[in-house]
Amino acid sequence: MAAAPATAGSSKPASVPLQPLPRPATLVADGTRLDGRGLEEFRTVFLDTRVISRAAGSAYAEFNSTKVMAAVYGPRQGERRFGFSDTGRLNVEACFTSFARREGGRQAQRAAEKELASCLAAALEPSVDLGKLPKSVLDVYVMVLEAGGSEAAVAATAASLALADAGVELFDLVAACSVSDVSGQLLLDPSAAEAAQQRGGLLLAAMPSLGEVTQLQMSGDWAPGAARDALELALGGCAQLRAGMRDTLLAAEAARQQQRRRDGGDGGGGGGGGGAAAMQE
Amino acid sequence: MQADISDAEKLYIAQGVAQGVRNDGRGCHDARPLELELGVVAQANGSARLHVGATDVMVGVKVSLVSPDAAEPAKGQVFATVECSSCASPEFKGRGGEDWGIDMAAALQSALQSSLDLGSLVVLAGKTVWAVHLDCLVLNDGGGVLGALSVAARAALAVTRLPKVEVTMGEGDDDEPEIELGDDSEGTPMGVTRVPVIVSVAQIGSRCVVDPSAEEEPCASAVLHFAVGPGGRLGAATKTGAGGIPQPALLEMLEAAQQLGPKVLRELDGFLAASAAAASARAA
Repeated sequence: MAAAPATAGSSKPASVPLQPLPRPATLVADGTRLDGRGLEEFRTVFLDTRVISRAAGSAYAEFNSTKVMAAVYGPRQGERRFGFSDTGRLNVEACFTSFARREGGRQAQRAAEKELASCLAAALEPSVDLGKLPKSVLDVYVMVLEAGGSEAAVAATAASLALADAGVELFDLVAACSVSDVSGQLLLDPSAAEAAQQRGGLLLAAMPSLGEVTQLQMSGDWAPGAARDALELALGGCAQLRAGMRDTLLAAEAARQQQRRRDGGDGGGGGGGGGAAAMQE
Repeated sequence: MQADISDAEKLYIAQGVAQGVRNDGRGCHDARPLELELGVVAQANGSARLHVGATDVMVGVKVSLVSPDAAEPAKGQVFATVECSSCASPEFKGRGGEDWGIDMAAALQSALQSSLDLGSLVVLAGKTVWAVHLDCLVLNDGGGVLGALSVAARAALAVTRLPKVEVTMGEGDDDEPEIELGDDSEGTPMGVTRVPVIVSVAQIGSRCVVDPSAEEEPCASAVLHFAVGPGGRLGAATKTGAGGIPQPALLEMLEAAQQLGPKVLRELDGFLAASAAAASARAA
């Protein structure tokens, strides 16, 4: 198509063709991936908590270009239509921003959101002590800001971090990671470009300290031995991720305590002075 | 789906499983025997009805010529639907079975899409391909429905013949090619060797049992469904149930599925070969 210069008189701008995802021929060379990682290495992980002030708990997780925000509201009273229940209910809703994914129309996006929500609910439910929350509902909202691969795993990790930040009683943190089988090699935490060329993929969510698996989803085609190896790789990845999640929570709590101590030391008028005190430092 | 059983019954089943005994006399790694009928629906291109214990399912395969998906012009199409008869379980009344049916249909469809040779379903590149419609009906839910559906689906696909097609190209460039359908009986079979069966493994207490019955399903804290192909190759896997699975148990469940899957496939293929031989002997 000849690129016609946009003039003031033209009624419609010329449509821009969709850029397909780049499909490099070789993803792994000499045990190093395209982005410089080793086969069993995570992307650069950044975790943060309490990013949404109105929520009971919230978290942000960024694995390079995969960016997810999670918020937990509640517990609140359950809707009447669900009737009485002596255990609580986890209501998980997930959405992708309209610019999160390259491919797929509205309908495909809605289907993906539904699938992600049910996958997250299964991953998180075993970790929450719902017996302590009769007749109640916990709302977990997850927003995928940018989908750069393994978004379900990153979303589960962020959601669990948000639950912990909300002070919900948990049996353990849920850490989740994906593994892709790309031409016989197992890649931990695949990027979108790697996942697009996988022969088999799996998502594993686990509570590493309890040693329990909360969600497993496999797709594609796995050789008998490779599946086992991949599971073990993913379990190791989850344990590693959990350590990072724990550090994030501890650091955030330590920072808050320090803040409180500083506020107390000022002896000022009390409430509302937190932000100002920080500014004076 | 959940059978309506009391807590005392659940405890009885769970304690039995803890000692390696199941309420129907099976061992933990034994599946129920399969009872298969082929060609039960005259209108379908291939069909099968399967009894596994109390579970009763029916699968019909219909093929039709359609224009291919714009994104994948060189691939045939596979669609699966699962209908849960409201007679099968009280939970299916009204629209109760719909969501469950949709989940199972998605599992079957993805298993078939990755195992059938979709390239061989192309009739005229970019213009016409075969669409394979798999219509599944759950007549009775006695546990392990997804597994039963996958076995019946493989059987129904194995007896399906794609009708012979004759394509006559038009004279000019603009003429649409003419497609003529032949008779069903002289059609070509579809390649189903890689189509997996789905094996369900349930975690009850600290042990796992394969092919759970309707009474065992509500006792399970979690159930893993593995699609297992020949030689123990794994396809999709999903988890249902609200409990966690201890890590060593996960690997044990994987192994149990990888052992049972090829066994079921061998049994099924033996039956299909025997019935095909019987049919050709009748014809001769």
